[in-house]
Amino acid sequence: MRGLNQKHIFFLFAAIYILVLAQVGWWALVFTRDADLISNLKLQQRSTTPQMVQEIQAEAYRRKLMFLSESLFFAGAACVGLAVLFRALRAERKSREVQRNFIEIVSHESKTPLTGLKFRLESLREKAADPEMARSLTLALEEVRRLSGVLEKTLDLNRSERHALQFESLCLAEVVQSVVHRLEPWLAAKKVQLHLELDPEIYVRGDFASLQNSVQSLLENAVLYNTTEPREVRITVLTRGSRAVLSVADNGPGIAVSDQSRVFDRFYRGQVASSVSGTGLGLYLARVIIEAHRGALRLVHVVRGACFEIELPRTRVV
Amino acid sequence: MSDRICLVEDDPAISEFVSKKLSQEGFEVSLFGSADPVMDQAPGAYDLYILDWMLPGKNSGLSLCESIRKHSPTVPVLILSALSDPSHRVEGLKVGADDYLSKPFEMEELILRVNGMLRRRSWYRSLPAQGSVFEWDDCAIDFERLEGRAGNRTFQLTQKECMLMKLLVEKEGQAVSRDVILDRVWGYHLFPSTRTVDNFILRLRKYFEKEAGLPKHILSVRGLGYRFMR
Repeated sequence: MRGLNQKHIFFLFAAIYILVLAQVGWWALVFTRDADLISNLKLQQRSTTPQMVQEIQAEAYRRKLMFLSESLFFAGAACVGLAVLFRALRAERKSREVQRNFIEIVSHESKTPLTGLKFRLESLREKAADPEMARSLTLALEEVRRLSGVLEKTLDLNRSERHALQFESLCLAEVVQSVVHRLEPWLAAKKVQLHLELDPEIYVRGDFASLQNSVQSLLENAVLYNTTEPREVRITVLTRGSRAVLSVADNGPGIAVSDQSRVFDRFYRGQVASSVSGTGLGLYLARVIIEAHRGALRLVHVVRGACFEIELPRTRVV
Repeated sequence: MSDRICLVEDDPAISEFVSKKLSQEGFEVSLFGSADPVMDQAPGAYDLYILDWMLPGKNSGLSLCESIRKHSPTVPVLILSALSDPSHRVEGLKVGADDYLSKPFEMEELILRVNGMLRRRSWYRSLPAQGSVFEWDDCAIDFERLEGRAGNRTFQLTQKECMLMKLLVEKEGQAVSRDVILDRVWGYHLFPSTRTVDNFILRLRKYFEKEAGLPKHILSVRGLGYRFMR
């Protein structure tokens, strides 16, 4: 029932209801005709007394009554069943909506105090004379950054589940460039050698912010789980037939074979989880978002490092 | 003289830090905890406004932005908000904000955006050599009053439409790339794609060209951007 709103569900149930009624009505009609036919045949085959005629007609009447009452019973039972199912479905959707609203309110309401906390910590770090104190405050700020990331991911997941993505024609290279621009200081601090191979003529239909977050998750993973010095990440945007393909590849240790089938599972962190902080939501969310774009996110087998590929339907360049 | 910034933010941790950092950058900052006292101030009191969306009191940051726009169509307004959905961003920009920054943000980014907005405003204020009104064919555009005329028809233009026209007019006869347009008119990739530029050009053609499908003045340069020809 994903993708259907209340109106769609109502029409779907109304259509099923009408079909059930039509079917039952049809059965009732056919069986009552059969009852008439049988009684007529009986009357024609034998020489009948008036009493026998009465009995045959009474039997035909009973048969008709039985078929009609059975049809009515089935129609009623089907209607009650459908109504119960419809109500349950509506209640379930309503409770999911309440849950999503709650998540959205909590996430948004947390952002202002989180910003305040971040600025208070930055103020303290500027004033900290003790290097140990400054280091602790830097770590605290890193935790704030992580928490902000979790909130953003939660909101993104909520939006994709609510089908609140805003689709428009956009240049895939621009999505990558905006993510690189956003992460520039962080990439520089991690001494990442970034290689970009972006075809600027590739357009897709998508939600800019969600695609940005998906690409960011892939880029962050390519850096965070990469222990090779120097870290290298290659991002390419190219076409494959009618599809646009965005790939993010790194020169790290790659993903353990035992983890490969589960990397897209919600909250799954893999074997290196203890050495890298994370939520286990990034890849899961990225896949949900890409699938909402009628695309695919997959792990590609490469000789060295890890390579993730986003495939999306390509749109015409105007 | 330093630029005057009006900062309206009710969270003291944010407002104190932002105000301190902006002052360190040489701006003169006036701090308010709600939109109500700013509503009564004379237009032109500040060079730039930074407004939180959700504020205590009668007016939100959004209604203050609307009110500022009515009196001062060109003063830069930046909205700060915990609401980060694209729909909220669009809503903020629709009421006339020039930029939108969602919380939590980096102070360096806010300062960069403020400087960019002031730089663009100062560029826009420096009028073309021929004055505030530029005329061609039977069309005219008044960059100060944000007005356009095509034949007998006069119409109001938005600030961004005027900025885009000013950029094209300044570089008359030369091709201006979409990237340059985005940088000079929007500053940041506030709107996601260069397609935004194309949409604005379509609107300008509808205003000024006799046949929008066969433009004679606002021309496309394939693979690059646009060129204005008188």
